[in-house]
Amino acid sequence: MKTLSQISLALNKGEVSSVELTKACLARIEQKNAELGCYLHVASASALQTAEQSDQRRRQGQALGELDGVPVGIKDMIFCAGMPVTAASKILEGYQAPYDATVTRNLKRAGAVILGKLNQDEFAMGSSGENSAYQVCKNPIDLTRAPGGSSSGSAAAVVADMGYGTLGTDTGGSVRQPASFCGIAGLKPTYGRVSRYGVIAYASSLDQVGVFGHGVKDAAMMLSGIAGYDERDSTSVNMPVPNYAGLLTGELKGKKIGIPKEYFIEGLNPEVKACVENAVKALESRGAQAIPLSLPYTKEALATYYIIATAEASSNLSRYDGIRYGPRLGEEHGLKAVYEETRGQLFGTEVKRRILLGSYVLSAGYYDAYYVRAQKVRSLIAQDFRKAFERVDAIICPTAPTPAFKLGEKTNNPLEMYLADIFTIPVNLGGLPGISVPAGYSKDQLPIGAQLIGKPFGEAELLNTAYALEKELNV
Amino acid sequence: MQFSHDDMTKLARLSRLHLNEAELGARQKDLEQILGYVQTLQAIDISQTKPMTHAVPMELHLRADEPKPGIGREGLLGSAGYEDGLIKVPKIIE
Repeated sequence: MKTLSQISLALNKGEVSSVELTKACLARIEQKNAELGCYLHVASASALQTAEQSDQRRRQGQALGELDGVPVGIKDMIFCAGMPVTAASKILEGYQAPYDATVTRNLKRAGAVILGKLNQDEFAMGSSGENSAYQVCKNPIDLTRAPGGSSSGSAAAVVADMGYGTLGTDTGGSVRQPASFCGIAGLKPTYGRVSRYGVIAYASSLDQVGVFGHGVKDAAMMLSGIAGYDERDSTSVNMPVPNYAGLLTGELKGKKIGIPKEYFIEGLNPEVKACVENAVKALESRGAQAIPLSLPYTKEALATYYIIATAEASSNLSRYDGIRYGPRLGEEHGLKAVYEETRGQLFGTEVKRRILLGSYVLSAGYYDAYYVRAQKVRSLIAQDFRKAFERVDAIICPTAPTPAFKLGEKTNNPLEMYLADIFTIPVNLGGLPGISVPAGYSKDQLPIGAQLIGKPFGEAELLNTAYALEKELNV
Repeated sequence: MQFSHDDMTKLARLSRLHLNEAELGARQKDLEQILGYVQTLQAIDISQTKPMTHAVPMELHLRADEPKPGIGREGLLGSAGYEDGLIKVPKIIE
């Protein structure tokens, strides 16, 4: 295993070429993708062409930066011009992205080699990867287990060396939870830190593009590669993008780390609890001070999320009507039948479940009781975090309540599946940055992640805390 | 939280989803379970609280109204069935 930062260095020293790296990744995809289901589309020809161009730049001393020539993968929620983009849904089968998402364009400008499009839960709705309409993605560490979701392929591909860094999206934990299940680093930046132009919308007040890498430094390099203001996304925020990797010192002296008691509830998997407690000790031994605190509205987050996210999803997904994108069914029965049959047959069960729920909470007579109420409770959850960050520099808690669960274990009970995101959802509701860092293993050798939460736009400090933890734990 | 068959039919219609009887029944159970769970929010005192509509405080910023190269009509129509630059749809008026 080589990490992105090691690869970047090796490219810089001329020890390896981008073409060699790209060919090796493509060979592993060729060998293992049928079994693992990481990629939905592999762009071999364009990847090799980009790699050759990168090598040529290096030979002429004109390398574009740390990501130049590095093979990466992109979640199928994100547009890459000319490549299929389906959000792992049958309703977008055959649709090709007409332009690049800003994050894709940024990676291309940095010289990164795009290997292809990564598998996920359909429209990013799910926590196991099992909601992909095309292929179930498996956890490379244990093929009987879920890689987590919804950015399943993005996490699994890094573990399976099918790309050194990947992009995912995180609406309720879809980057951090799979990172925890797969034993890698996964960062969700602050809402507004990264442009969402060209990213398929699920729940717009929560969606954010995130990054995966073997370690914290890799995630930092990926974030520097994609972050920044974009005039084409009015929710992106105009703040400078530092070289996040360059700011990693591992120095924590005097930093205060909050331990929210609501995340260490009765029934929390004891191995997860032990790993996170051990992570707290590791931070303390680096000079940080642990501060017990309370985030009283934590237990309301899951219900709040499933009202807000489904409401926004029902609205966002109304554009898939069989007219402008993908296949069209029911044409012989008239326009209304086109809408209803195309959507009824081509959306998967979980997507239909969320559209129905979202339509319900937005419908006349229920809007105030559900949607507006949830938005108000969201204010209380965000206020909890604001108050906490007056006292501490970061918060630590579990990323997921359990290690990776078995494939098929939760597919028959939607509510049980939703509980897999119980510790990641509050961060999205607060719009905050969060990262999952490998913190240990269960007795079955399954990875367990610790989640660190930072202040808004405090990615540099958050990554540094995560880096210190990673160095100290040496998992 | 209880749903009748009529409630579900209406909801499916509002959502523009054709669902068969088996699906209607299964989704009815799901919704009852999920809405039962979210009832916990009804107990929270929100009388003094404003709804949160944005994740971070932000000002609306507008970009300059200047033409820039784009992907054009053909590019955007690419995946839709179209003829003479127009999207083909079934008859709307009976």
